[in-house]
Amino acid sequence: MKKKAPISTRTLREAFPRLAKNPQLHGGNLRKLEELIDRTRVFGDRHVRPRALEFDRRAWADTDDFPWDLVREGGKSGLLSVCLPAQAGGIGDAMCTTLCIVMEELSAACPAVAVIFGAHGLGVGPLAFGGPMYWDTVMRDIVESEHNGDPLVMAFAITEPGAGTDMENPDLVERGHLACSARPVSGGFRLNGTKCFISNGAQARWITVYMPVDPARPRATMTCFLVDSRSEGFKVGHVEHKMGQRASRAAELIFDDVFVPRDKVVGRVGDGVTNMMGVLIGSRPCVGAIGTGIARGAYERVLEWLINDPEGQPLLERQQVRLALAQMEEEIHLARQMYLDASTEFDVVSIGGLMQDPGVKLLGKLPRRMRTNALMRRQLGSGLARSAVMALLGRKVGNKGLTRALALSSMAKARGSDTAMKVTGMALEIAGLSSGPLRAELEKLMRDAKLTQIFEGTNQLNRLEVCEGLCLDGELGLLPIGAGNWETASESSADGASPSNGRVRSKLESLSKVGAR
Amino acid sequence: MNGMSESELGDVIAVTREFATKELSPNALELDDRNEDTLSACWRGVCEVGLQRGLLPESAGGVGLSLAGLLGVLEELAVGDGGVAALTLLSNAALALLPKEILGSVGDDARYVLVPLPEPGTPGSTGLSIADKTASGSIPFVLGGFGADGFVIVGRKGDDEIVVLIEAGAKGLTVERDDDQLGLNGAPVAVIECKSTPVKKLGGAELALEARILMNAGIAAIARGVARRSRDIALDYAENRFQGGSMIIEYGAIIDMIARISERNRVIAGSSAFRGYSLAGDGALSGDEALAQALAAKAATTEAAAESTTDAVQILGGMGYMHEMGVEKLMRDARYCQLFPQSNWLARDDLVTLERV
Repeated sequence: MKKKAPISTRTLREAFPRLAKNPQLHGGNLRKLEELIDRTRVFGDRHVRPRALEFDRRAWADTDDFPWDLVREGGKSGLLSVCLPAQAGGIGDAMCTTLCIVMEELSAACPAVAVIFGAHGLGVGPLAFGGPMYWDTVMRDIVESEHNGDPLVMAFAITEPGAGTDMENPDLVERGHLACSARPVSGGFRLNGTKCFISNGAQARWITVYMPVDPARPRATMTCFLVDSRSEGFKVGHVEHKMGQRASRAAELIFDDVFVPRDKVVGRVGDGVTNMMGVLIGSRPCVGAIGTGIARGAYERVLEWLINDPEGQPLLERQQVRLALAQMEEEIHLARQMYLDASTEFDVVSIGGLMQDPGVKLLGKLPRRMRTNALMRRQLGSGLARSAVMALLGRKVGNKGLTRALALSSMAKARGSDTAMKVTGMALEIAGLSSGPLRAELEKLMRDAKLTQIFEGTNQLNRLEVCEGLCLDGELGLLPIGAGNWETASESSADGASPSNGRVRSKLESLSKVGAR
Repeated sequence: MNGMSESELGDVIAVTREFATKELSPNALELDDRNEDTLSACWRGVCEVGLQRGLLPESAGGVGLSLAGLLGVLEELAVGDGGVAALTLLSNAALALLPKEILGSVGDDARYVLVPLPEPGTPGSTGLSIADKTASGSIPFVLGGFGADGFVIVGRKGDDEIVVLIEAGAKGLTVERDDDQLGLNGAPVAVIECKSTPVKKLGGAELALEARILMNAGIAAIARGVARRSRDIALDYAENRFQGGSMIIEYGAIIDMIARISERNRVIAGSSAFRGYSLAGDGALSGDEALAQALAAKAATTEAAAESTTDAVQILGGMGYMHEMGVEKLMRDARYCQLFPQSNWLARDDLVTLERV
């Protein structure tokens, strides 16, 4: 009788004992997370793992292929709304930690599928810096699309053909070779240029896109735009043939004078670098988790084969194999601790902590009908509201706090991705070329793993940020340096950006005061 | 030993280098994409120079290379394409074990491959059962086996090593392509099934030892060629890509990775392991000692190649991960060098067995 490998059956509390110590995950919240992970595991085991190789082959053969059926199915488990704040219908508390654990679970089944949901979360991320104005618009649309079985995915576009790493560090942004730019026009901006390697780029309904408004001052004028993929002048170019993570399509996006109305500027003009780096602080632990999941997927598969398959069983008697298995378990455990440290820092101490701010919570408690009335929406989109978000970030977290959070995130990302490469290589080495179907699965995981060392900043860049934030206790200039200067009083006035409603104004002002404490 | 002078060998290497540069490198991506027409054309090129039977004397239509000479040729071919280099190795290893009477009937551009079965106690080792005149069962991974005209199988009959020949088209033989091949796609992998398929016995332990020396030393040479190519691509990219307003080769992170690639390439070229298997080929070492050198060279060189090619992808960043740049292919090729003809941890096991003897 075959023995069953005791992997994948560990409860959340067994695998992550430290979660109970996260103040946002007390009692009911921890149970909600357990339920979510159970649903994710079932989704992964039933729908993803058995078809992972099929998705990979299909994507290689046809660049238009995309597993919408799987995205729809994942939506039923809430995987598209898990990245949303509670006020918009998402899970809310401990959001980064939750996303990380979901990413690990999905990646153990198929990293490409995890990245489809992860890249969607990345696309949503910048909206958190736009304040509450998106809770009842794009975010609500995502929740509704999930419920009605017609999923809406998002994408995040920063990389340009001549600027990869340049777009992921405040100093390099200033010196880099950026070709994209946004030109101010009446009522909004015109976007021009090409973005490349954009995950979900060809499928996304909405894309958060970063471009400077003044190409001569990219750091000071970098801005995030929410682009409707149905806009005139927008088109999808080349879809890449990648070594791995193939089911997650990476596309070139071409912007030919694409008009973006002023209300689709996320945050303020010039907040772009802060916004982008803030998103990376939250997403790099997720990449660490993806790496951890890839490693776990390889480890689980080879262990199951060693225990259950007559071809593998004799190898389990070899000490070299046992030592390798122990080392894999050790590496996975370490990588997991690092992403949990980083995600907890995000959730509790840095950016995620802003969502716990009493003022933000208060806004969330307002009936949706109130938040969505025209006057209120105008106030939430006002210059003061946009400024309040950055003011809160500056006062509660500051450059120092952001730099530390970035360092922890970058460390988790670099370690998790290195673990993925190491463990998939070890698993393949144990199984060898004559291990039948297992070989193809391990080879795929190894191909998938390599990307995690590259995307969201190469590991080299990530480690330089670790040095700055942890070794040297330094400060990267992550807060806006020129935001708001661009906008003239007349532009603000023409937009109706100045709040006229006294009650709303006082709420927004109270946000800044709370942040100051 | 053979009579080829150093200058003659230099000429062969120069011709091979030119062939790899002009015919293989430009077609490397198509070979990786399993384009059968491209493979046929490249194989014809290999055969026109006579490299598929390089080890054989000129009287047998070969080039008369020593093992050391063949390793030099394989390294140059692998700079162009690791898969075609592997196919050339497999052909040389197979033809070197064939007796004259069979060799005489082998066409000039025929593709014969050596098939080293996994060692006892490892996956795939029990799949094929070889009897006196027939074989039955399956071999799950035959590098270069798809499209081959003959298979020289190094396996076991009971406790004894045995080398047998199975001709393509033999009764009960089915050969199917493995569509999930990770690397060395110029040597298309097949899954082979035999049902009482006729075999011809070629020899025993002595031939098997010769085959193992050839395969391990040859894969080491191919890995070095693949690593050299990765160095060329990475260096070229680093000198032309700008980041933060400077060429990326001016950044310490990139300097460090390129230096390590260069360091591995140079140290391995000058290492005793590399020189060792060259010596083995010239008959300066006993069979077991030659095998030990070949195993050590294979493990050390292929690991270095895997690290170098992975670093090369990293230097190219997102571009490196894209198929069209041709560098991720090298990483996949290098991984197969680590795993073929056996995983390196098994090669090390064998090495210690030989050390104890």
